[in-house]
Parts: sequence; C-alpha cells; structure tokens
Amino acid sequence: MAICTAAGALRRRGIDEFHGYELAKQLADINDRKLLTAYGTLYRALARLESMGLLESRREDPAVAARENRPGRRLYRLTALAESVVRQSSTPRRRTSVRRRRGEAPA
Amino acid sequence: MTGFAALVAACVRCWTRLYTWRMPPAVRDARREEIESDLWESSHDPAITQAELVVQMVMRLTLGLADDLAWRFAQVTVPRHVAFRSVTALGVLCMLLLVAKLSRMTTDVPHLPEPPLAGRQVHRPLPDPPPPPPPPGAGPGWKPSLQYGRTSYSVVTEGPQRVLITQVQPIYPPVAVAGELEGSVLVRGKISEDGRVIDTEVAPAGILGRSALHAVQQWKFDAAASRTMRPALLTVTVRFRRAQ
Repeated sequence: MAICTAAGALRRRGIDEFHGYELAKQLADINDRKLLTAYGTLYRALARLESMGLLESRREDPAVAARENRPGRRLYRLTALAESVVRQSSTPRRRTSVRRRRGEAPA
Repeated sequence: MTGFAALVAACVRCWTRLYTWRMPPAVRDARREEIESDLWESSHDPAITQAELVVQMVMRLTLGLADDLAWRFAQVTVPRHVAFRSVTALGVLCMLLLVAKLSRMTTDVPHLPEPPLAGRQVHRPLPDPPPPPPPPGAGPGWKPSLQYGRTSYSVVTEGPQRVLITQVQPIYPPVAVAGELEGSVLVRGKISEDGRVIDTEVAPAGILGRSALHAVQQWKFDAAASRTMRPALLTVTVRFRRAQ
C-alpha cells in the first residue's frame, strides 16, 4: 500500500511513469527517512504488485537510454485498479483525522 | 563515483548475479537491469554526497538480502514428479540411515582392521574365573550372583613380548544378564612403558562395552625393555554369554 501511495504522490507531481530509484526516494520522503528502501525489498514488492495487477511495467525505449548514456530503466505505472484502491484507503483515514481534530470518538 | 563507492556497487552487482544465477533468462536479465539502473540513478543523484551514496548502497544491499533470497525461491517452481522423486529418495535415505544406526546398536563387533601380524602375541580365552565364595550361612542351593565375560587378547609389539601381570575380568552386568543381552565387544588400546593400558577405545559402546573397558583399563603389563620402543598395541575381545 505504501508503494501505491508513493506512486499516487508521484502522479500528483505529474510523473505518471516512474522507475525503482525514483519510487524509493518518494517512499523515503513520505516516511521522512533518509535511508532508501532496500534493493531486495523494493523490487520484490514491485514484482508482487505487478503480479497482483496493481502495477504495470514496461522497458524503456533503448534509444532514449542510449541517447542519455545510461542503463535502460523499467518504468512502472499504477493501474486503474490500484488507483481505486488508493482512493478507497485514503478516504476513511481523512475522516478519522477530522474526527480526532474535533475531539470526537472514532466510530 | 569514488573508488569505494565503485567497490560497493560491484558487490551489489556480484550479489545480484549470484542470486539470479541459473534463473530463466527473461527474469534474470530483468532483475539485473533494474539493479543496474538503480545503481546508475543513485550514483548520478546530485542530492546525495559520495559518503551518503556508499552508506545507502551498503544498507540497501544488506537489508534486502532476505528479500532477495525469498524472491529467488519464490521463482523456483519444481515439477511435481521431480518433487515426488526427491521426497521418495529422501525417505529411503532416512530409512537406510535408521537401519544403519540400529545395526550399530547391536552387540556385534564391527569389522575393524586387524593390526599387523608381525610381532603379534595371541592369547586364547582364559577359563572363567572361580566363582566368589558363598556368603556365610548360604545354603547348598546358593548360586553366585555375578557372571563375567570371557576375554582373549593379542599384543602387537616391536620388542620382546609383554607379560600380563594383572588381569581384571569384566563383570557381566546383572542388568544385561536380566535383559538377556549377549554379544562380543572389542577393546583397543596401547600399553605404556610402565605397563598401563592407555588410549583405550571400545566398540560397540554400550553397557557391555563400558564394563569391558572398565576392566581392561585396570590391566597391568610388565615394563617395556626399551624406552625408545613404540608402545605396544593391545586388542581385547570380550564375549558375554549367559551361563546355561
């Protein structure tokens, strides 16, 4: 879920497709940490989300990578299913925080 | 990238090659390319210093080892017939080990290599020791409560023959007699210069073996004629048979 949230945050910044390192930095920003997610943890989670249908990925055009003289990236993007999941999970959290701010007991 | 950062990056690459070794080429290459891309992006990130880069790479590598292995094993799919054969073979192996273990627990003497024939003294089994005297007041139907094992031994020595001065008969443990446990045990050892039996070992080690070992350790031979001589080798066979 944290990955989907981070991907949603990237999307709000206008980044529809992201690569692993970009996502790791976004995750660290959200959690206010300096240490990035471990290689194994990050790419294993990405593979699982892809198999669950929450992410889809493609290899970057090799010409672009060659032009910029760097290795080719694997670019991920959220699927429609993942966006609805993120939306559903973020909505009740906001309501709870409003209730807490008002001093009401959560339902 | 500094030399140290390049070294850490090489470690990350090596580890990635290791845990993706012998995987399907598509999966293997995809993971290696992703890691390569990540390394490049992090090394060209202007927001972090070289020191931070090294720390990040080391921590990301070490904290992800378990996940790398878990991912690797999740990718391995074993065909059902291969899994069945492996489990069957493992079961057969366990059975064989169990049988071997049980056979070692019996009282038969294992086929240990015999010592060289040169200079060997062979002593036939001694007659059973006389029964202990009956306790005062015992009736005519009294039977001795202890039985002994029958010993035969051989000594291999380079010099003159070693003479056995003190021989202690191994007691046939009453528990073994009651449990009808019979068999032979082999005791090996060396005879020191002063005639003591040292460096002893027994096979099989059990209740009979312990009794035989305890007795042989109390044996005493005459002193060696020469101090430069290598210690003589002693082999004792003890047979425990219940009295009819």
